[in-house]
This record gives sequence, C-alpha cells and structure tokens, in this order.
Amino acid sequence: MKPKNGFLLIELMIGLSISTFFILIITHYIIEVKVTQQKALKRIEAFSIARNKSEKILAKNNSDTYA
Amino acid sequence: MPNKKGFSLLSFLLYLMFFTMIMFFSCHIIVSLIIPSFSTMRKCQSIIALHIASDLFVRDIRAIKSYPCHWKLVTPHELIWQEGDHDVGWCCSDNRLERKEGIYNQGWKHTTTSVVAAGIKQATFAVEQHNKVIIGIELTLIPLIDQKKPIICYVAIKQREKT
Repeated sequence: MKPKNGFLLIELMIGLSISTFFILIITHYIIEVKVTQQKALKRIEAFSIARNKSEKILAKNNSDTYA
Repeated sequence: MPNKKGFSLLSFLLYLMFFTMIMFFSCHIIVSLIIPSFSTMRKCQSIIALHIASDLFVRDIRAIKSYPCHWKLVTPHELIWQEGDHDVGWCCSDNRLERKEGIYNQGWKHTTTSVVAAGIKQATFAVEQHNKVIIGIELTLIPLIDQKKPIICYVAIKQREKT
C-alpha cells in the first residue's frame, strides 16, 4: 500500500469549514451577549427614570405634608 | 513507479489561496464584529455597575431611621449624615464612589470605607431644600467611559416616620 504524504484538498476544505463554523458560532454568541446586555441596560435606564420621577413626586408630597 | 515527493506548484497555490481566504475572513470577523462587541459590552457593564451603585445610594438614604435626619456635611462632592451612634458618608475620590462609615468629627475617625463603584469621572450631590429642610438629593455620576451620558438618580428624604 502506498504511504500517504501530506493531506488531501478535501481534508483541508473540511478543516477550514469546521474552523469557519466555530468562528461564526463564537461571533454569534458574543453578539447575542452584547444585544442582551444592551436590552438590559435600556430596561435599567427606563426603571431609573421612572424611579426618579416617583421619588420627585414623593419628595414634593413630603414637603407639602410636613411643611 | 517512483514515489511522489512534495507537491506541485498548482496544489501549493491552491492551498495558499484557501488559507489566505480563511485568514482574511477570520481577521475581518474579528476586526469588524468581535472587537466592537467587546468594547460595547465593557461600556454596558460599566454603566450597569454605576446604576447598581446609584441603587445602593438610594437604599442607603431610604434606610435613614432618624427623623429629622442630622446632616453633618452637605457639599457637592461629599455627603455625611448621622445614623444612630455612627456616621455614614458618600464621596468620590480617585475615580471611585466610596461609602464611609464611622465617626465624623471635623474628619473621619475609625472609618470603614467601601468602594461602591469605580470608573467615575465625577460624582455630584445636589440637595433640594424646602423651608431649609432637605427633601431630596440628586446624585449625578459621570462615567469615565461615556462622559456625555451622566447617570442621574434622585431620592426623596423621609421627613417623619409613618405611624
């Protein structure tokens, strides 16, 4: 049987396809985490604005009640 | 039949082309997608941490038990009040938001300092008064990572305990 030297083109292409697939999966995961974080930040900012408004109303009520 | 040694120039060029393409593709993805994503993630994490710090400040102010509150120092950069037998203070130093607990008498004595948040360019306390009584405090945090977007949190001061 003839010994095999080096690798075949098909093996190279399979290897490249697998590595590309992994790169795409990792990129997709990182972008997904980034989008989730941005959504969480938007919600936190919305809650913060709502709390600021409610606290201002509360402060005004307190000052009116105990003036 | 002689054994084949090495590979032909055509095979070499073909392999080289495929390797170049895949490396170009990988570098393109890393530069255009992954690095900006990491940068955005760091920025988001930093801003979320400052929001958590502002939540802690609100909780600290809401937890004041003495009525009316005895304010020991009220400046735009430091806030100290008496809480029972000790004093509590918030200030910003070395780009960090700090909470101090101890005895304050013209200076801190026996202090425990906790770093609440880091990466702050400036923290400002603005008090709102009504008939010379502090009714609310606004804390403005300017993050180092995004100085154009300050984090503002307002907290009302309870004037009397509910009966």
